[in-house]
Amino acid sequence: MEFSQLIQRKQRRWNLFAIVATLSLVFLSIIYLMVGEVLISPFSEVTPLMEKLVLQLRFPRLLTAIAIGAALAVSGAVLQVLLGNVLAEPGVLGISGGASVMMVLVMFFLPMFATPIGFMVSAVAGALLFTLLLVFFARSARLTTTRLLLVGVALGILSGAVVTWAFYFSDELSLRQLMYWLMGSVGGASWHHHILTLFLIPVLVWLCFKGQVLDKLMMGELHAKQLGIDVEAVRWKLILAVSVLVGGAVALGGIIGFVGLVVPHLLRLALGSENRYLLPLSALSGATLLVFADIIARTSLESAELPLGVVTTTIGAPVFIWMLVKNHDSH
Amino acid sequence: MIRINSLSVGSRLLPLSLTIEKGQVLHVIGPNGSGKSTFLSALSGLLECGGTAFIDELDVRQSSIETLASYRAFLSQSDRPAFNLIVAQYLMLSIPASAQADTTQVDSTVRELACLLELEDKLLRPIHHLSGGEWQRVRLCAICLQIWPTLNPNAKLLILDEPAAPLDIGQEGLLYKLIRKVADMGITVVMSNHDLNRTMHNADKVLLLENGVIQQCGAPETVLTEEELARVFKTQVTKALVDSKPVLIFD
Repeated sequence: MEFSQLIQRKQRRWNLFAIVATLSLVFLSIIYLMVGEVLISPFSEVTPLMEKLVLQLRFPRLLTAIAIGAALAVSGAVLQVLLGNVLAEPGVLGISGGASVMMVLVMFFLPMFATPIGFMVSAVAGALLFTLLLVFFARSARLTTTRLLLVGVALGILSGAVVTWAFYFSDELSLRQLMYWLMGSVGGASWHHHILTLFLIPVLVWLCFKGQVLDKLMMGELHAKQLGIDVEAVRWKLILAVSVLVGGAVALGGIIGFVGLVVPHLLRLALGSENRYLLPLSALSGATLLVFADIIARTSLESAELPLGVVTTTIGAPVFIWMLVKNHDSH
Repeated sequence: MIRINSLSVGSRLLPLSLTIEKGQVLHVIGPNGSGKSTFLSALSGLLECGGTAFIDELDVRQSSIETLASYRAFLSQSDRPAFNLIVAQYLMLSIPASAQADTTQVDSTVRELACLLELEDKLLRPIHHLSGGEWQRVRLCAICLQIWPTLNPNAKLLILDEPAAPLDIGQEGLLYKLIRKVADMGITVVMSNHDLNRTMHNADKVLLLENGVIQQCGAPETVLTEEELARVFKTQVTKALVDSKPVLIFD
């Protein structure tokens, strides 16, 4: 078979999967809007209550789940390329921990900034700070990627400690707010939260178009450089973009783990590593996964709901262990 | 033509000047740590350096990384990426963006190179499943795609850092055949090498380095003398004639 035909055949597989993922996202979204305390069928008569339920509660919440899923999956995929390690993930590396620490600090010491925008800014600043710390360690101490991962885990523990301190000293109200961030939940989503989403969309689209650069970067920095990629400049832009996405996702829904790890990894296993397709498809599949997980979170308990972060972690952690044991990553 | 004038990198490479004609093959030899890789990185514009280097009229130090990529290709010493993808996809990354639309040209060039490097049946293999020698031939194929004149009319220079290291003697033969073919198309080839007998028979010009200082530069017969090699490599060297071809024998 000719070379270009081989390439085209791969492209067709990606396209096919893109259609499947889009359809399942649409399908799950419709189910998402239907199920809940009150089952709403699109064919039944619409009462004002139902309209309110869908427009004011379920729809903004659905969009939050989609935004978080897409943002986390794409930032996971990009981080993996940046650090040259298929096990990198914003949660595992402590970057979302950094975002949550900053938000906790703002909540305690600067309560007047505890608005969605204030949280967004502090979460992005925290994510950026921890990413910079990681990159600084990686470069100054010439860490191997394995060690880098360990430093990330340590940063995660550190942020966990700060949050626990905050927990200990908090009163009734802020305790509940804290619980909400820690477990990861989109239960409080409303339309005004989506000011954040408006900031995330351009970053997400920009990253999805960086696939070709990431493809070359994936093959090693030296090779990328000789192929004409200005590695240093690109790296900083990507780090900034990832921090914005992770910070935004944490500000929207708290810490939701393993989406950024599991989604890109399974896509790589199933379809290949071409970032041009992997990034947009990660966004689609991440959104689908989170919508699915939130359906479970909302409906599995009779009278209450599970935190979304607990559901994704329960799905993700066994997959993570399986990946480590199978050593599916490399070599 | 490549013109190098007082090119230097800190104390690792002291100023050296030489010119290499179009289509010539230059071998850079010397003991480990003598500055071969440093010289190649500096020439390819990937390392901060002093002095000047010109690829035809292009000033290497003043050019953007992007421009350089279309004038020269640089094969570093082997490293395997953490990510797995199939060989065809890896090759696709090296094909210049301007040439990608012309699929018939791309197809025939890839076919020609895959045939030269005996990779025809490996295009669908994941790169993590390749042996060391196969991976090196895939990298060679990719680096050639970047400067193959049918895909990239700007190309002038191919730089290879120990390209023969992971290859067996049969595959080494393929490599030198490929290098000669590239040179015959008018592209200058600069490579570092450890196999001095190969240098003797396959180089047009030889640069001998020791501790970052140029020792000799010229035709293989004049550089590869018993005394000079014995002095620089600190070992015994004897030149013998086998089938009326000179062969170096080391202690």
